[in-house]
Amino acid sequence: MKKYIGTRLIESLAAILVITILVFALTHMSGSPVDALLPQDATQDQIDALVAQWGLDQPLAVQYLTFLKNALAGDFGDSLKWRGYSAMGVVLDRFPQTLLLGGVAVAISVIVAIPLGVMAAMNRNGPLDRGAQIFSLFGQSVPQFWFAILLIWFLAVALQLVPTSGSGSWRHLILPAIAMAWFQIAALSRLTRSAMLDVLDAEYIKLARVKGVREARVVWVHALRNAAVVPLTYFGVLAGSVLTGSVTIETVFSWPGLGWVAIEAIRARDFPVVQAVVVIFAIIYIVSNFLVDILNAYIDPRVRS
Amino acid sequence: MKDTFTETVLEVRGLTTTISGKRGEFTAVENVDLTLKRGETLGLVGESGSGKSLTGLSLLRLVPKPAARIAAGSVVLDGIDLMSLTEDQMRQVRGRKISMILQDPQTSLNPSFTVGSQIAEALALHTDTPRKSLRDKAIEMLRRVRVAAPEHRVDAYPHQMSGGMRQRAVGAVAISCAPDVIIADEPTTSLDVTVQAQYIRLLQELQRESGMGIIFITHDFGIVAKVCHRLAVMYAGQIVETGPVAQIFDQPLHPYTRALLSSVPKLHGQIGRLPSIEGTPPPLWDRPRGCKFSPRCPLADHRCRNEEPPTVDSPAPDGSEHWARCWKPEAI
Ligand SMILES: Nc1ncnc2c1ncn2[C@@H]1O[C@H](COP(=O)(O)OP(=O)(O)OP(=O)(O)O)[C@@H](O)[C@H]1O
Ligand SMILES: [Mg+2]
Repeated sequence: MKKYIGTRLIESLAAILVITILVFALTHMSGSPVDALLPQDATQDQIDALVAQWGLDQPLAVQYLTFLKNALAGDFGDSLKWRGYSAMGVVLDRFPQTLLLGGVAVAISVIVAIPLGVMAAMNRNGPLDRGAQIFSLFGQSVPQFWFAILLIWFLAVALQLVPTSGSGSWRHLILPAIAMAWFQIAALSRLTRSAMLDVLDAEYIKLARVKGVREARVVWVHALRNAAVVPLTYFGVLAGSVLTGSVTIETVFSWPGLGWVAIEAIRARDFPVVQAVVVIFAIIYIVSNFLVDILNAYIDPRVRS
Repeated sequence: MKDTFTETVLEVRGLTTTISGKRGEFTAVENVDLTLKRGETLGLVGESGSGKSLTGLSLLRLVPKPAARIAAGSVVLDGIDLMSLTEDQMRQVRGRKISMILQDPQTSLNPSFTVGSQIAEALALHTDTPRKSLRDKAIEMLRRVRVAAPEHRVDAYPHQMSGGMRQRAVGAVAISCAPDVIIADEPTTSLDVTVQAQYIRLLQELQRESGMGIIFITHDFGIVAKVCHRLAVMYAGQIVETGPVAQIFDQPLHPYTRALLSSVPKLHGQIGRLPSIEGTPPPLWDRPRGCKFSPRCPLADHRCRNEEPPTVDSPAPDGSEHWARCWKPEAI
């Protein structure tokens, strides 16, 4: 187990390193950073100063190492849009908001999707299964922003149950969290269903029944314990969808998290902040996949050894 | 094997199980009668798809849902008709009074739980073993099925054990609550020959210790000759002949049994797996009228092909039951 964690840890660190190379390369591929950092009518003095400040006259490898060194220290330079703040400062300031929204959305989707998937499998081709199928077809085919707007119109405007957008109270959290969870529930419940159907056919499920184990325990313990590996692996993907989802959802609901920062920074050509956001997104994604793998090993003894 | 068994532990009458699928509803187990005495081993043989496993599962009322359904019959275990029990009462019987070693024991252990906990689960369900001693009891069970170093194996996961060892662990689960009847569904087909022989010896020892009745489902006449006292031959969902093993080997009544045995050498000689017979069994959803074996039977005539054959009795010299469903039982 220790060796397994060690290997995965090294893989994760390597992945993060590759990401920094990509981010660095992108900066240079999208034209000289000077164009991004300075207004069109900048003077030659300003340009020279910037080139010196950023070390742009150095060889690429040196530039990358400097970038990496600074990045490791969390230093991506100062934000251009939010004057007086460091890029990392802006990102870290908004990070908890995204974490809160994503966490609540994931919690909702797990609480709804896993039981829904299990019950759909038990009720194979019955009304509940069909209902869940239609629900998830809808959830997976409808664009997230459109569904978000639908939610606003229905729950916030027509029924006036919750505020349309903004942040500040738990009531502001409801709409964006549902909008974000919706797509995840659709995918996760289908995954759980098919994993359960596979497992329920297994001989060891029959053996549990032969032993006289109660049906509820057969399903929720003997079967789900094995089926859970599949939706759990999907958690890594979920983390990704929370991040990408946050860009749409946070914009629609004006939720001041990382996704919102990303869009604002891109609009303002705030290069340092965009870099910081991308690196942080990548790290979240890699860390959550790492955690999923550890959890997987904990649940499935075959992975462990 | 001259043992005589007197006390009936399991009596099955008219057991009928149907399957509904794309081809509509058809009968997969038809009107099965079986009698099992305490301490006795009853062999159940027949070609693949003849309904042996489904018969075993029907006895436990665990036929695959929703396709299969037990349509009729009584299964009396220790004087209790299992068919009249509620699902909850039936659950108490499973594992405690009647148990089954499934056809593929290699995959019958749950990969996510230790072997010990899977044995302990049955004990916790059906016995009043205190929680603290469950582990010790599980170790004891592993020891009884001759697993080496049971103190260590108890905490092992199935994938950490060899095939033979897993097989034994499945056996330990089955015997953990000392059931009166065990149905062993081809428990040795996936094992190599030496391990197979050891496992069969083990089952026999356990039977001697506890006096349980065993229904041994197999393809292998060698095993039948070695371990079974009585034999039931199944064809296309029906029992076509049943009687003491020696008697059937000497004087088979049914042409199907005779055909099965014809290519098998002497009882004590080298006896191999179920030999193949000319033709194939009919699909269960499209069985012929009259005798189900008639299309393959060299003796079949018009009556065989149109009328359900009668049951013909030919008791063994010691008076024990031996009958066949046939219009032309050969040994009479
Ligand atoms: N879950 C199921 N759904 C539909 N049909 C089934 C199911 N299980 C068994 N059957 C059918 O029931 C019949 C009897 O099957 P069974 O498994 O009892 O045969 P068997 O005698 O045990 O064969 P084998 O020697 O291959 O194990 C087969 O024709 C099979 O098609
Ligand atoms: Mg079978």
